[in-house]
Amino acid sequence: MMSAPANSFAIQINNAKVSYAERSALNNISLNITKGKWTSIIGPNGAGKSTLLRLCAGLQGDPDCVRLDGTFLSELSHAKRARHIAWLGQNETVQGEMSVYELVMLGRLPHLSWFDKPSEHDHLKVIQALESVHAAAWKERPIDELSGGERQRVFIARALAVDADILLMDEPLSSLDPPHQADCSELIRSLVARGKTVVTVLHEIAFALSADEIIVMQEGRVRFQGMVDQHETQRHVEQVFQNRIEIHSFKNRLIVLPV
Amino acid sequence: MHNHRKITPERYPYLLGMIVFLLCILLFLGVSVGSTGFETLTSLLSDPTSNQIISMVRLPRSIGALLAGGLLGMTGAIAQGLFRNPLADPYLLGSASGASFFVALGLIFFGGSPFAGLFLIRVGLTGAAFMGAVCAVCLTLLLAGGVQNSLRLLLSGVIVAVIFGALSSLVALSSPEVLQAMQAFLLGSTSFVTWSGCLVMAFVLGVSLVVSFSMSRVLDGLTLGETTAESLGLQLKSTRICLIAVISLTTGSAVAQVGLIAFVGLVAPHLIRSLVRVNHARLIFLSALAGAGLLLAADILARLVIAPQELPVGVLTAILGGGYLFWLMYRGRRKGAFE
Repeated sequence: MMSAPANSFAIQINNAKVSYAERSALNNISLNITKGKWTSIIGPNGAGKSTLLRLCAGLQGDPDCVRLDGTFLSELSHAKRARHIAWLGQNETVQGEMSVYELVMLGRLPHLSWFDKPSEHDHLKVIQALESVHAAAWKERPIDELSGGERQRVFIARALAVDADILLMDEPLSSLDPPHQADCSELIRSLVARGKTVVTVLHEIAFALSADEIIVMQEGRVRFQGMVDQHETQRHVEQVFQNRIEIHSFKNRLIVLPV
Repeated sequence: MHNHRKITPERYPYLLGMIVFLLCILLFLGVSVGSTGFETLTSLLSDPTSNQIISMVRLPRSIGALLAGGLLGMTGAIAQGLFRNPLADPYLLGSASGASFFVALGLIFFGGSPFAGLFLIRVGLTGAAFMGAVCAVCLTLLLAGGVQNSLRLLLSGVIVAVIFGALSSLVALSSPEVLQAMQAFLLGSTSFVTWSGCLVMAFVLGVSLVVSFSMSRVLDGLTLGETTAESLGLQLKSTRICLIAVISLTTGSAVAQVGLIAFVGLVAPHLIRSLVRVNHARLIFLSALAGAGLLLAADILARLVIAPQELPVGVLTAILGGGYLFWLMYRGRRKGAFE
């Protein structure tokens, strides 16, 4: 499936399995995620997309099945792994009161030791992250006064503030209105242009098709992995959704229509 | 926009200074108030009896109240952060019920009251309370199968509390003479705190503050949920083990010295959060100071309300703490919170 040299992969998964009690969520998954590209994971509900993303982040499953830049996850310290991979969970929440700025600063935790105070560099990264999601103007606002969409932008900024080489995002577009969804897509493109690897789980198929590569999941297995612009990839995407969607090319973009 | 009325984090030093000033006033009042009146303080240097009352009764008692309140306030802030639950209190892992049960057993064994004058009885019951608190927390950990799952820990804490509560009642009912002494322990009192007790509490408070400060970043990260905190490289398992050890040590030593003091541990962090938006390191420190102030204030009131007799201080903390939480809820409901 992949013929590129091993050092061109940001994440390599070999024969990984994850189960919830009796139910198997991922069955013998093996795949490679290309460095410096945007990869989208798509599939129907319960296909194992979020579990796969958690596996990549070392938050679930056997860390001996996952390699980051050729190093097994089990060989990395917690802090080193956290500096290497930034994670944005599905429907993130925060307990307690804090300002937008304070929340985004939590993204710098992997860079701070026990008694360290945030340095100027940390503050700069937080400001840059806030600017990337157009939230710098309301950095002092308490997080509980924001709308769902505004909050989601702050959570994205929190993940960006980690300043990791790999960014894993589970449903980053949830609660965002169409202009901000487009902004998010542009933001991912700019991160990839700077050499970052981005992996997203997306239900919005049209946005998922803006990625470079697609992983199509079905019933805990990788059904197909390929470049978005390949006709075969598009055919697998249509099939995994029981051919109830059609993918068309329109003005150099892929659009999705219901059948 | 209720947050905008709060003290901004930049003004934290002013708030800290204000609380320390209030604590000094409370300590002065604590030394001044007692069954022999204010004159005891004025004749401190001339009268040896007054000197004895101040140095051996009022001062250790007031400092003991400050330290026990500090331990409970600090533990409340840790527990609420660790379990991501604003209703968590220092006793949530069953320590209070464990301490009560062991004290009930101790009362049968020693045949005295927790406020008995005999030094051995006092030391024995203090030790029993501490052992009970620690045993209950260990049993909770055993039932929960470790520290990984917060919900399982909380549920196990409830189960252990119910079981030890029932056993204490059984012991008290089977031996009615224990009942009254047990009641005194359950309502809490600072009147039997000695200098050695103060020393133990000060040591535990110091060690616990250092440990919890070093772990406060993890508590900050935990506000984002366990998965996200883990993704940020925070080591949840070792933090839980350390902080649960701190919770059992602090509640065990506070309960052993002053009995069961209700609400201080629950209310102190809420009081601080209603005043200022701070990270966990500052919240833990300020909650310790707030808890110290609350318990000493309640203790002074307990000495004054029906002077020259005394009310059990736990009754006052329960009434004041419950009233404060109700006001907080009422204020929150008017602003759309708690919905």
